[in-house]
Amino acid sequence: MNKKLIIGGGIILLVVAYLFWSGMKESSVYFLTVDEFFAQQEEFTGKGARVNGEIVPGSINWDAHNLILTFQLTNGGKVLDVRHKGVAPDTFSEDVSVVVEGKYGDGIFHATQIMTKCPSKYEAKKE
Amino acid sequence: MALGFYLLLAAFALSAYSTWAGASGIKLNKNSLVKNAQKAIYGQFFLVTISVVFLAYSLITRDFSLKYVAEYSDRQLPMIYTISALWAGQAGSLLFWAWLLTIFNALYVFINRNRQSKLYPYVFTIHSVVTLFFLMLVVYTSNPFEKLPHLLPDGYGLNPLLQNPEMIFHPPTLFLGFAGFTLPFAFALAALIKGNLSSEWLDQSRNWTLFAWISLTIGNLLGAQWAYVELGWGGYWAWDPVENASLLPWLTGTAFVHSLMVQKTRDMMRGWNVTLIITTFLLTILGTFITRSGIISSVHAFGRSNIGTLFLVFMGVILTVFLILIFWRWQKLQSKTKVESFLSREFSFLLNNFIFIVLMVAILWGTMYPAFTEIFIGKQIALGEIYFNKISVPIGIFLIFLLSVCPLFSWKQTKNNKLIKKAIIPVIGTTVFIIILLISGIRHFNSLLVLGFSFLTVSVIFAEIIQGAISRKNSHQEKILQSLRQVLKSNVRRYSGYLVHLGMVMIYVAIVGTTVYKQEKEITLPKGAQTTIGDYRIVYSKMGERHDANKDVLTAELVIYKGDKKLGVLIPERHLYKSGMGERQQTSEVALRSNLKEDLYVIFASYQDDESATFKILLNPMMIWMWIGGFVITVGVIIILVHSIRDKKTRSM
Repeated sequence: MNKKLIIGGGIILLVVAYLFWSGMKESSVYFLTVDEFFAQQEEFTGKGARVNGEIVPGSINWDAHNLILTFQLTNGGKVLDVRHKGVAPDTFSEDVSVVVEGKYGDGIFHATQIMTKCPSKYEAKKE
Repeated sequence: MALGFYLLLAAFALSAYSTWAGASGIKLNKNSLVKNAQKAIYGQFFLVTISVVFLAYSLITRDFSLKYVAEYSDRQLPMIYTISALWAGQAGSLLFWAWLLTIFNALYVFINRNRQSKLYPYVFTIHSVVTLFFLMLVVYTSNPFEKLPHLLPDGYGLNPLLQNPEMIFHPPTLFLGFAGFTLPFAFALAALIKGNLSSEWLDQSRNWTLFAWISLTIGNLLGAQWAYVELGWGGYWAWDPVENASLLPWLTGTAFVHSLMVQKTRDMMRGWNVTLIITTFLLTILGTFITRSGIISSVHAFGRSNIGTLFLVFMGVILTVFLILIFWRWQKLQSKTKVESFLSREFSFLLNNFIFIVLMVAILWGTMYPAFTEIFIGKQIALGEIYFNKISVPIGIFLIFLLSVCPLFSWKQTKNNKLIKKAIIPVIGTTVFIIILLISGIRHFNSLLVLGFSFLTVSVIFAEIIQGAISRKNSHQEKILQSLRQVLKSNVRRYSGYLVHLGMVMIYVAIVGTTVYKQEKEITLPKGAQTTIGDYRIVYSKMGERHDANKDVLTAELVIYKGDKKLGVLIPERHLYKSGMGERQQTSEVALRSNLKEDLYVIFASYQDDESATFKILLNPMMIWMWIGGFVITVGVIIILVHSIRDKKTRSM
């Protein structure tokens, strides 16, 4: 009984370990600000990244017919051009801080996902 | 309203007193001190209740001299959301949590005041420590009654996304679940300290546990529903750290409500049960830590705050105390019995627990990963949806497999002929069902597994009930319906548990439908144009507008047809909020057409000057079964609770 249990448990753990490993390998994305991104631009070209920044006022352009959204992100320094196929999330506007997830190539960040910062105000304010 | 703060300060002092008086009363065996501790616990409840009323009153009367009121409401905010602002911010939600803690403890002290339980003083004293911690947070770090240096004419308003019916109920039920796990936790620590590790503590805490579990379940589902109807992306779960944070204690809590049965029936898993419930409690605190501390950047905008450190210290202290106690009581935690066979109910529960823990660890790891990588390699690396799905899908399928076969097993050992007799009809039925699914074109392997096991679960349950009724009918000479009633009545707890399982199956079916068979399209339509999705034909007929007290609304009217038959209209909206001192924020209000088969879900994404509009349209099969499943689970748990409370009453009379 105990022997079987150990073997069975071992197999399950191996399967789980494999799932852990392969899941992590496929879905790791780096969290970066726009400036950090440009500092290591070569390293991140073609790799999954999540870039966080403010939208440059007036940079939002929505092509309704082809459903292409373009805008620029910044942290005050360099400016990142972002292109996204599809509609923007609900709270997307010039005033909000956004996180874009995707890959960088040909001078443009191709965002697969755009996230605006959270609805909850639970967090304490930075003093 | 400085008075509100002084009341909290007094409640804080009282909770320190009840901790001290309870502890020294137990140690010195002085009944008078224990009695004083009980009075102090009533006192805490009373004082915190009044201060909550004060804060609600300040919100309702729009007293913008208070920082909290100014930050989370404004003059245009409808009354119902003004009240919900009570738990919308950090200070308010912590006060709310502390309030729930005082309610639970006072209720526990009151209900059990005449019962002879040796654990009783230990439990409310330990609970007082937790209350003390939360009141300390409220008093020292996030005072909801903090004044602004100068009076504002109007507030900054409540975030529009939080102005939604689900948001009235979602946070309180979640907090009810979080705070509710404090009592079972206190019971476990009490049992360890007292050295009485038989199932007594489980018997006495079981109803509290179930109550906390169902609150957490409902809270999570309401959160999913809020994300679904309000966030406007067509989904309900995104593996966001904040969502994960409330799922983690649910997983260990669910493992616990199963494993406690094993200890009650077979006196096994003593050490496991105390570990599980303490883990659950720690995870509720960890969840709060993740959401408030800013340790993990997520979609949710976190600022770093020192409150996180306090949570970390609190968790560290509890963990240390727990480890010392486990070490000290090691002998008494050993169970006398062992699993005798793989084909036994206890083994299936063991496996269930193991799997729940693996899932919890995987999600915890994925959630905390950015924090770990930040510490060790100085960069935040996030794990995306792929990671979470990759792990949760196979584990989820294994769990529903266990769910379907578990009722086939008896305690100790299942006799082979009995197992075959119970399983044969459901297995044949399920095989036929899978063949039908294959013929009807369903080829997705994981879906076939989940739907097959769902069918197996349902048929095993019904086969057991019907077989029971038939054999009773033959031996008692009664009508079949009467036998059926008697069978169900003979073991309310078990059959209500099955009802909960049926609810889970519905949720599984909804998850398969909405993830595998979802259809989605984004399209820009000129006025009068049409598009199709599934069997539906959708015509964008006109745009309109409306002006509410706190927002301007733009509407798009869509006429829905199936073939040539007009089914009705859907009117998704875009809201432009006006807020007192805050910024104007746009949100979209989705339009939904929901039936038992599928949800047609439309988001009004944007519009152009020529009145052409962009829509995101989704067809989510089986979506409604998630909410129906939640309802069925709730009914099941309520039946168990009512039954066991009634049972206790008749026994004590």
